[in-house]
Amino acid sequence: MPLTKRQFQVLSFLDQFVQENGYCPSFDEIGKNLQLSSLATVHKHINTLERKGFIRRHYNRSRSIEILNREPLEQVTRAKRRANPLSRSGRDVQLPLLGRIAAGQPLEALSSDESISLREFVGSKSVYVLQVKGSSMIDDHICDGDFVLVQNTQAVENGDTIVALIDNGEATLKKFYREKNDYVRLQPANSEMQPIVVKAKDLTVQGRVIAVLRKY
Amino acid sequence: MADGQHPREPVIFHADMDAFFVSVEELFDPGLRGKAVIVGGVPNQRGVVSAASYEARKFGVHSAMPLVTAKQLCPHAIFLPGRRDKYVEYSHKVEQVFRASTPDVEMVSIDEAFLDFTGSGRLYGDPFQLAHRLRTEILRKTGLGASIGISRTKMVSKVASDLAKPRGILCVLPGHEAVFLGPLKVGKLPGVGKVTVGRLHDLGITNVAQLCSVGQSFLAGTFGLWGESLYRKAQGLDTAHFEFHEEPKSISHEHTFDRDTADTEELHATLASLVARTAHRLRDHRMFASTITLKLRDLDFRTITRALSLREPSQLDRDIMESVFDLLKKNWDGRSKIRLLGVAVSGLSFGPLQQDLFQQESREKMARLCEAADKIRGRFGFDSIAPARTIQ
Repeated sequence: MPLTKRQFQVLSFLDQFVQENGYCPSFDEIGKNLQLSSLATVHKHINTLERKGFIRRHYNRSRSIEILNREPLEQVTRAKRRANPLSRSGRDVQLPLLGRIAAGQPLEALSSDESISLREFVGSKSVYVLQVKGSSMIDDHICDGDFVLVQNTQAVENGDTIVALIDNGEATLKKFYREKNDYVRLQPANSEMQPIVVKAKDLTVQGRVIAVLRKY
Repeated sequence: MADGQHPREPVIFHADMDAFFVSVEELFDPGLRGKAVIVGGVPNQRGVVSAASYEARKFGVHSAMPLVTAKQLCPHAIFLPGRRDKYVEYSHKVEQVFRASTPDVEMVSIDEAFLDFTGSGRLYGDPFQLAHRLRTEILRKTGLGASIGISRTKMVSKVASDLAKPRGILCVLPGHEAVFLGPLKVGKLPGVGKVTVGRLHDLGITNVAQLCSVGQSFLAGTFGLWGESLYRKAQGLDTAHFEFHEEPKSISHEHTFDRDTADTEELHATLASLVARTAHRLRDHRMFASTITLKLRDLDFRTITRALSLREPSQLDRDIMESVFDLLKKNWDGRSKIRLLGVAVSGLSFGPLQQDLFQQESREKMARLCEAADKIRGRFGFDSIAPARTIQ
């Protein structure tokens, strides 16, 4: 069933908000983001999306909307990818490279009994665990062998430590800074390394570091 | 990470010694290392596990478990009686290392402490690095391993140290507390105990992100006074200074008489008032009690407490009153002067386990009456309405 532009915007905002925050926006937040002053209009769109089967609501609870059908959002992602063959969706890539050495894998299975508590994050869609390879973040005291917890989001800010995929196929752990003319500077926290400067469109942000873990 | 942090952003460490009692024992007998060790006594009839080594924990042994059970789970374990004086001695040694790094140290148990390093960025640099140095220093000065959690709040740091264990440091970057907590099971939040977890599971809420998403008003409606704290915890905010910051385990009220009395009327009136207050609080918490306790103190300051269990959990004045009067009758000779009376309810849960079908209707009527009384109290104050008995 086709969606109107407005309905698509609501669905898209819901999806993005949940991915970034791990929980659902309130009607108020939806209204603000779409610049709708009337909550009744938000209600109407939500009702329509529910009727068309794209979302499901849980009653007697605020902020509990579940997205059932992401197809319209996927279509847009695929279209974007077709338009720019160099960009890649986070869904394709088995996570990444930290530093400039061969790609690492997200922790799908934890063999060490010592890391038993990290199992809480394995399989989570909002936060995943990576192990650091290399010394590009050494000045920030993130060392080879440390683990980082990464929030699955594309919305990052200046100064955030991010996991980034750049167009030559590398994935890397760097600090993110926006520069003029749509450039982005990826700054290593290692005084002996050079920053990488790329066009924003050639960069895919996979996530933002929210915690660092070291085991002895 | 240091340059990203605002100088005034709080930096709270939760330092937690790894298998503390066992680790101290290992200092005295290095042969214990790598083995299944259980501290708490000989596995005879009584006694529980004080501490278990990680090797023993693999078999399912944990603190507070009866030693007999531990023996069944891990028959090859080495059982040690435990030496409190040594543990206290080493706890002091560790505390000294803490205090050498910051004056703001709060020992919360024999092997855990909160340390406040807010504003020490210029002195010590990056918190993660600081924790690494602290951990190394503890090992050097005491030979013991510690795990450290770092964040903006005590609660998140405590969760972080728990996830870092054993021998780990986990630093949650400022502003990301809610995202960090999101995938975790609700029971991982400090103060969220068995009873709350049970009710949350009944509602389909298993992780912290879901707890956030149901919203504050829903939680307040389901968990009463404790609901607001639950909601704050889900977002990574501290609640220690809140009145209701953890799952309620018991509710009680007492009264000391101006003049010791043996007047039955007066005692009954006082009990009725205590019961009314207790039941009101119970309902504010949306909880039901299954154990009722009466406390009596005579003029010689001899104090007794006697309890009984209800057939089914209740939050109604009537049920608690019946039990309390029954306990009084059975435990007071009717003559001795009483100095203090107390009523307590415990064995709390969030809903009745069974319904007695025959009394269902009258219970519902009584529940509605209590609800109406609560509403009036809400508007006009607690004493605006009282059971007839309390009026003399």
